[in-house]
Amino acid sequence: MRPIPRREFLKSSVAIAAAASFAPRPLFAQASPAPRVVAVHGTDIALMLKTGIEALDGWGAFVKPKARVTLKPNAGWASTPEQGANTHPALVEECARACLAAGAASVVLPEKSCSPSAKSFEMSGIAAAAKRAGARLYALEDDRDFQSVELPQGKKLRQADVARDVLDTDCLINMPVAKTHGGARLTVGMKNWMGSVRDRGFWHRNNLHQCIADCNTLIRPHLTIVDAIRIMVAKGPRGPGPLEYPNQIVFGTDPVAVDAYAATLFQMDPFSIPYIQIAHDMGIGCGDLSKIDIQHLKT
Amino acid sequence: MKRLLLRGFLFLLAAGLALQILPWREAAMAFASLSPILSLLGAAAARAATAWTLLGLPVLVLAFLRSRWFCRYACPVGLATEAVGRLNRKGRGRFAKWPHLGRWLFLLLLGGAAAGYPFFLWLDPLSLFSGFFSAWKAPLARTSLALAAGFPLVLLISWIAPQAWCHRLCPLGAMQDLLSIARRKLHPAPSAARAAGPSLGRRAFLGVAAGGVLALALRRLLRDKALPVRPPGARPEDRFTGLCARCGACIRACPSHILRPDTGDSGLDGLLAPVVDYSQNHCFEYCNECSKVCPTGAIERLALDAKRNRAMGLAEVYRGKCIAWSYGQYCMVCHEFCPYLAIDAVERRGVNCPVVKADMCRGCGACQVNCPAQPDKAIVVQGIPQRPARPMEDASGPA
Repeated sequence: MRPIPRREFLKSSVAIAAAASFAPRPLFAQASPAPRVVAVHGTDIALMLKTGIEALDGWGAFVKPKARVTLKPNAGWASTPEQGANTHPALVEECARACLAAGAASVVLPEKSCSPSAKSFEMSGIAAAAKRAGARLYALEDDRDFQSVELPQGKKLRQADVARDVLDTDCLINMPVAKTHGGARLTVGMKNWMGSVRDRGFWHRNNLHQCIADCNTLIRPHLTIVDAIRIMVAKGPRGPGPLEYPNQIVFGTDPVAVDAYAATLFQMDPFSIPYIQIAHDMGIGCGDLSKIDIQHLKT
Repeated sequence: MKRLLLRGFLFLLAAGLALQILPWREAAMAFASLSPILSLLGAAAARAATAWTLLGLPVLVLAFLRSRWFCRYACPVGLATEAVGRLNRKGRGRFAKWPHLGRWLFLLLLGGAAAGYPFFLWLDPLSLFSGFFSAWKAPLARTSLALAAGFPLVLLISWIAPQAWCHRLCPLGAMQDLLSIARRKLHPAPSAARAAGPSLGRRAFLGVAAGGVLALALRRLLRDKALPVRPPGARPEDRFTGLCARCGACIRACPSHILRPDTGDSGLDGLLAPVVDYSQNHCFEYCNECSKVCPTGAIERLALDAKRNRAMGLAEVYRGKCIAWSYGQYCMVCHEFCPYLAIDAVERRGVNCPVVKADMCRGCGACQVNCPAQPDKAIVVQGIPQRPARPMEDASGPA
C-alpha cells in the first residue's frame, strides 16, 4: 500500500470518495527503519534505469496495470542535454517507455518551464524523447491545467495552484536533474515541484526554503529518479556552467533522503541546504545521511 | 486588363509579405526595399549597405527610363488610392491646384539622408502600407493602431481629392517625377524641355541643402536625450529616429511581442518608433527576427552571434525593492533567468544578493520580467548607447 494522502486535499468529491476507499496511513509515517537510496553508476542509461528499479522491487511496485503515470522531468530551460540544466532526454524516454511496458494506461509529463516552453521542450530533447516513447509532454499554461489546493501542513505556503496531473494520478515519479542553484543553493527533487505550480513568485517572497518544504507536504512522489549523469556545479540552475560527471542515476522513495544524498555529489552537507533541514524537521522525510541506507550499484 | 492583374497580384503579394506569412523572415522586407527611398536613402543615412539595399536600384533605373513605372505597375498604395478616387467623381482634378509638396519632401529627405537623419522616411508609401498591417498584431493593439493609421489617411486624402496623394504628396512619386524631369533635361524632346521649368536645379539645391542643415541641427539636439531601450541592432539614437520608417515590420516580427510603437515617451522624434517593453516578456537569446526585416537599416542586420553579444540596455538593481537585499529572502530569480551569466551573487548575512556585471549584461530583460518583487520590479533595464558586450566564452569557469 502506497501513501495517497494528497487526495484528501482534492476538492472534488469523486477524489475524496476514492481516497476514502484506501486504508488511511499517517502522512509522515515512521515507516521502514531506514529510507533507501540507490545510486546506480554507469554509462548505459537504459541499463542503469533497469538496475535501479529492480533494486526497488521492479516496476510492478510502482506502476499497476492501467495506471495513469505522471513524470515530472526538469524541462525548464532552452538548453541542450550536454549543458545539464534539464533532465537527460534519454532517461526520460527510457522511463516513459518502461512505465508503458509495465502496463501504464498513459504517461503524461506536465511542465511549467522557465524559458518559453516550446523552445525548452525542443532544445532539451525531451519533446522528442516523450514523442518517441509515446508519452505526452505538455506546457502548464492553461487555467484548466491547475487546481487550487490547500496545504494544511504548510507553514508559509498554505494555498497553491498545482498541476492537476500531479495531484490526481496513480503513479507520480519525480525526475529532476541535480544542479546548483543561485537562490536555493541546490536543486534536486524537492525543488523540482516548482515546475508544477503556477505562482513561483510567492515562494521567493515568502521564504523560499520553507515553501519548498511546505510543497512537499502535499506533493508526495511515489518515486524519485535523479539525473546525476552530469551535474552543473556552479552557475546553476540555468548555466552554462562548469560540469562534473558523477555518471549516476539516483533512485529513492523518500524525497528528502534522495536530495540529501545528491547534496554529497556537490560536496555539500545536506543540512547546509535549508529546505533539506526544514523538510527533515517537519518529518517529510529523512535528511540525515547517517540514517539513510545508501546502496551503490555498478552497471 | 493585364496591367490590372499584375497590380492586383502585387498588391496581394505586398500585403502577404507585410503580414509576414512566409517562414522566411527576410521576405517581409523585400517588398518594402523596392522603394529606393527606404533602401537606398536608408543605407546612405545609416552609412551601411547590405545586399538587400540593391533591391532599391531597379525602381530607380526604371524611373529614369519610364516615367512613374513603379506607380503604374507595382505600387499597392497607388492601386488603392486610384480605386478610392474613382468613388468621388466630383473631386476629380481638384488636386491640380495643390502645390508639389512631395518634391520638396523628397529634396529635404535627400539632404537629410546625406546628413544622417532622413526625416519623412515614414511618408514612403510602402512604409505606410506596411504599417497598416500592424493592426493585426494582437497583444499591443491600441498603440499598433496608430502605426496602421497612415494608409487609411492616404485613402481619405485620395477620396477628398483623387490623385492628390500620388501626384502632389507622395515622395516616392515625386522622386520618379524628378528623375524623369532630369532625363528630359539630359535628352530634351523639343517641347518638353520648357515645361519642366528652368529653376529646377536651383530649387533642388535649396531643398537638399535645407534638408542637410535641418538634419544636422536635429541630430545635435538629440544627442543628449534620455535613451529608451531600442531593438538590438538599432543605430545610435541621433540617427535611429530619423532612419526608422515606422513600417512596423520589426514589431510584427518579434516572437516575444516585446516591441511596441512608442507613444512619445522617448520624445517627439521617437513617436511610433519601436521601443522595448519588458512588462510581459524578454528578448530571447536565440532570436534576431527584428533585425531581419528592417527595410531602411535603422535596425542593423545582426547575425545571431552578433546579436547575442550586443548590449541593448543595462539592468539596474534597486536594492530598496529587492527581496534579497532588503528583506533577506533567498531569491536570485534574476540570476536564475539571466541567459548571459550577467548577475553575480554577493552574500549578505548568509543570503545571496544580486549584482549586475555591466560588461556581461545585454539588457535582454529576462531578469526584469521574472523578478518576483512587488509592487515594483527590483531590477529594471535602462536604455544605453548600444555596444558590444563581453562574449560568454570569456566568462566560463566557476563563479
